[in-house]
Amino acid sequence: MSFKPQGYLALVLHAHLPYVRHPEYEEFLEEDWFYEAITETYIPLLTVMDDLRRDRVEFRLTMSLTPSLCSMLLDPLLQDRYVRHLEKLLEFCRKEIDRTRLDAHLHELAWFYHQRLEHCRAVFVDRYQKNLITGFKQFQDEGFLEIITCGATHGYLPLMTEYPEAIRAQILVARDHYIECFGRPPRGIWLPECAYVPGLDKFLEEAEIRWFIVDSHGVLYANPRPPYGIYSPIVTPSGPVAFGRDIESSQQVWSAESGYPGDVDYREFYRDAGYDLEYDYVKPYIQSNGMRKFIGIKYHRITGRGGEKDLYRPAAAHEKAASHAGNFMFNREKQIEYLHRSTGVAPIVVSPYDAELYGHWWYEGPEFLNYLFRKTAYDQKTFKMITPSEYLHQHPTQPLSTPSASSWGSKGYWEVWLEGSNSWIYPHLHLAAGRMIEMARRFKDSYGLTERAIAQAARELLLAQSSDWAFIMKTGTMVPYAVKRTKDHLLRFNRLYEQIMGNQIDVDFLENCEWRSPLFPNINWRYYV
Amino acid sequence: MASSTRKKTVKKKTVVTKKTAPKSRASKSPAKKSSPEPVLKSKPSSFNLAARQFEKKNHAATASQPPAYENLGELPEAYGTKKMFLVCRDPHWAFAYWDLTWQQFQDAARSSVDGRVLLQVYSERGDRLQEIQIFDGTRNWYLHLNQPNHRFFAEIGFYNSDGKFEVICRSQTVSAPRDQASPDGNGRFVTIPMSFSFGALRDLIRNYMNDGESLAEALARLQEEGFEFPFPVSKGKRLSEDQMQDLMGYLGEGDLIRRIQMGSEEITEMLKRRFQEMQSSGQWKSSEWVTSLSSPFGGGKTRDFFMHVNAELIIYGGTDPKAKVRIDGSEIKLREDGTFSYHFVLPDGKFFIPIEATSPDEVETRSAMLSFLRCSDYAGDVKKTGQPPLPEPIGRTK
Repeated sequence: MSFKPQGYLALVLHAHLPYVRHPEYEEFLEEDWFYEAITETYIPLLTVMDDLRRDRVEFRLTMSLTPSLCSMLLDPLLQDRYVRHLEKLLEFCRKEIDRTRLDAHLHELAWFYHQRLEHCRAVFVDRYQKNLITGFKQFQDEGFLEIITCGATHGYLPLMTEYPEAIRAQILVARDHYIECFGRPPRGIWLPECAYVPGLDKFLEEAEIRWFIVDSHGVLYANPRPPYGIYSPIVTPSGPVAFGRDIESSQQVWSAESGYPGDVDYREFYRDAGYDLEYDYVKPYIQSNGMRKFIGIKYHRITGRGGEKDLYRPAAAHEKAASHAGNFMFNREKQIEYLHRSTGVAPIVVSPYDAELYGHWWYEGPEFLNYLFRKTAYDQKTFKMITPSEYLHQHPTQPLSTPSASSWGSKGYWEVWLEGSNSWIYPHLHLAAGRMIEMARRFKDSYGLTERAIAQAARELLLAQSSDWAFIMKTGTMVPYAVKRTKDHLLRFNRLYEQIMGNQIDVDFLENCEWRSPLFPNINWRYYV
Repeated sequence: MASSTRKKTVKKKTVVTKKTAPKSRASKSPAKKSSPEPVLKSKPSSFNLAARQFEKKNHAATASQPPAYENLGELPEAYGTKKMFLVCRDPHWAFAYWDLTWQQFQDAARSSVDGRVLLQVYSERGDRLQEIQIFDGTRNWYLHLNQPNHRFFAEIGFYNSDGKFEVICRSQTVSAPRDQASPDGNGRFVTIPMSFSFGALRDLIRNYMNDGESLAEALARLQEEGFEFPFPVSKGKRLSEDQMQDLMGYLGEGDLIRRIQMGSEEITEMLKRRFQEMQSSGQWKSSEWVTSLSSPFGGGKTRDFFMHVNAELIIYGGTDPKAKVRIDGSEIKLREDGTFSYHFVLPDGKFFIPIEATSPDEVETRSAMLSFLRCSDYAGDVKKTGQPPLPEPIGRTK
C-alpha cells in the first residue's frame, strides 16, 4: 500500500443549494431541490464513504458544504418535511410495484427504487436521526474527508468589492457557522462560483483560511507567471493558497461530447414517472395544484439519439460506472507520470465538481466515485489521493503570485452573473450593503430589540446576495422564483432598515422575517462595522 | 432507541390519519412498517378521501389567503444616490450602472449646454476612451473596452456653457483581468507552514514588515534575506526553459480560452443538445420550444406532429369490508367501504387475472377470472409516452 507517489489527485465536490425554506406554505415546489439532493447525492455519498471505511479503503475526498446547505440540513422543519417526502415516495413505489406486475423489467425497477428509498429512510432517520451533518462530520474527524466552507450565502464576492465589509461578513459569518457545525475552524473555502478578484485573499487571511480553488486561467494568468502552471498551487500576497482547476479531468466528466454522464447505459434524467404516467394515477404525487413535476422515479436509460428510450438496467449501468472509473484513473496515471517526468516535481491535479452532479444529474456518479477510490487504492502505484490541506502540510513552499480575476462560469469571468437578465439586481444589492454598513456602525453598541432587528436585516441582505438568484435568472428556468426571492429579501431588508433607523421596530414583522428565514441564529452582524 | 422512536411515530401518524382531515397536515401518507413485501398490501391512499380533501383544502387556503407579509410592494426604480458603479466583467467588457432619479436626470439635461447627458470612460491616466450619450430610461451600459490588464474609471456628466465637463457621478478605478499568461516569469517562492496560523506568522515578523506589504510578500522577502524562522525554509525549484515550454505545450495554451469555457454551464449545453435530439425524434412537442430550435441533423425540416399512446388496466370492485380479497394470488387491502381499485401496466400479450373474495366467516367464496388481450399495431412513429418538458437539474448543474 505504501509507495512514493509521482503526484497527487484531489477530488473536490462542491455541495451547495440556495436557502429554500417556506414554512408559510404546506408544500413548496422549490424545496424539492433539497429533498432530491439528499436522496440522490448526499445520502449516496455518505453510503459510499461508509462502505469504503467498512472495507478499510484509504480514500481522500474534499467537499464544500456551504453554510446555506448546512443550515437546511440542520433545520427541523426541512428534516421533517424530507421524511414526509420520503414516505410519500415510498407509498408511490408500493403502488408502482403493484402496477408493474405484468411487466417483469418494470417490476424489477419498481422494487429497485423501493429499496433505494427504504435505504434513504434508514440512513436519514435511523442512522443519523435526521441530521446528515453528523455523518459528514464523522468522516472529517476520521481523516477521510476534508470539509471546507463557502461564502455564507454563496454571494458573488467580486461584485461586492466596493463594500469590503460585505465581503468580510460573507466570509466570517461562514467561518463562524462552520465552527458551530463541525467543531473546528475551516482550513479551506470554496469561493462562490470560484470567483476570485485580487484582494479577496486579504479577507481569507483574517479568517485564517489557508486555501481556495480558482479556475485554470486564474492560476495560468497569475502574475508573476507560476512556474508549474496549474499543477502546483500559488501563494497569494496575503498568504492563502490558490489551487487551479485541472482542465483535462474536468472535461472527462463535464464535457458534452465525451463526458461520462452521457453514456447510453446511464439513467435518463428526463424521463420521470411524474411526467410519464397516467394523470389520475400519478396525481397524488405531483404538485398539489395539479401540475406535473419530477418525482425522481425514472425507468429509462439514455439509450441514444432519438428513438424510444430503453428501460434502465442498474447492473449494466454499474458496470459502466466501474469501467469509467478505470478509465479516469488510467488517464490520471498517464497525466501525472508525464508531468512528473517533464517537471521533476510531484504535481497535484485538482478536480472540482458540483456535488449534485454526482447522483442527482449523473445517477451513477456516486458509484463511479466508489470504484475510483477503490481502484486508486489497489490497482495503481502512480499517484495518491490527497486533500489540499494535507498537500500543503507536505509542501509548504510554493510560488508567490497573484491569481488573475476569474470564475468557473461560462466564459470564465463574471458574465453569467452580470448580464441582461440579472444586472438590475446590483444597484439594489449595493445600496442595501451600504445601508447595512451604515446601520451597523451607528448601532454597534445596541442591544435588545434593535440588535435583533439588525441581525435579521443582515440575514435578509445575505440571502439577497446568493449568486444562485442571478444564475437562475440567466439560465431561464424558475426565473420568477429567483426574482421574487431577490426582491423579497431586499424589501424585507429595506423595511427593517427604515424601522431601525426610525426607531420604530414592528415586532410582528420582525418575527415574521425571523420565522421565514432563521438561518445563522448566532450571526455576528458587527462584521459590517 | 431508534426503533422505539420509529414505532412511536408510526402510532401517532396512524391515529392522525384515522381522525379528521385537517389534522393530517403533517403527512398524507399512511404510516407503514418496512414490510419487505408490500405487494398489493399497501393502503391505497390515492383513494383516501381524507387525503384528497386535504389537498383541495390546502390549495383553497393558500389561494384565498396569502401568508402574512407576502406582498411587500416593489423596489424603487432608482434611489437617487448619484452613485456610479463600474466593473470589468471580463478582459474585454465593462459594465456600468448609475443611480439617478428621473428628476436628477432632467436637471442635468437642462443644465447641459446641448441638452445631452454623457457617459465617459477614461483610462487610469485620464485619457478619454469613450463618450456615450445616455437617456433618461437608461440605467446601465455595457462597454466594449477591449484592453485586458488595464485600469479604467467612468463619469456621468454634461458640458456646461463654458465647455467644461460637469461631473454628476464618478466610478472607482477598476481593473480588467488579463487574457493571457503574464510575461513576468521571475516569481519568488515562499514557505508557509500549515502548523503556523497567519496570526502567529504576523506576530513573528510584525516589526520587519514594510508599509503596505502583505503577509506572504513580507515572508518571501524575509526568507530571501535570510531572516531566521522557527521552521525550515526551502527555496523552491524553478523549471528550466525547456521544461517550461513542455508544460505550456501540454496545457495547450492557445486552446485555453476555448477550454476554460467549460463550467457548470457545460451541462446546460448538454441539456440543450439532448433536448434537440428529442425534438428531432418527435418525442415531445411544445410550441414554445419547437419554434426556437431547429433539428441538428439537417436534411429538411422536422415536422412537429407526434403521437404517443399507452394502455393501463384498472380493476375495481367491492365486497364486504371484512372479506379477504386476492388479486392474482395476492391479498389486497380494501377501503373502509369494502371497495378496491388497482392500476396495472398492460403490455402487449395475453393475461389472466383471477380475483377471489372470501367471506368474513370464511365459508363462502366468490371469484372472477378476467382475461385480457393487448396486441398493438402501429403505423408511423408512435411512442409509449410523451417526452415531458425539461425542468433542469437542481443546484449549480442547472
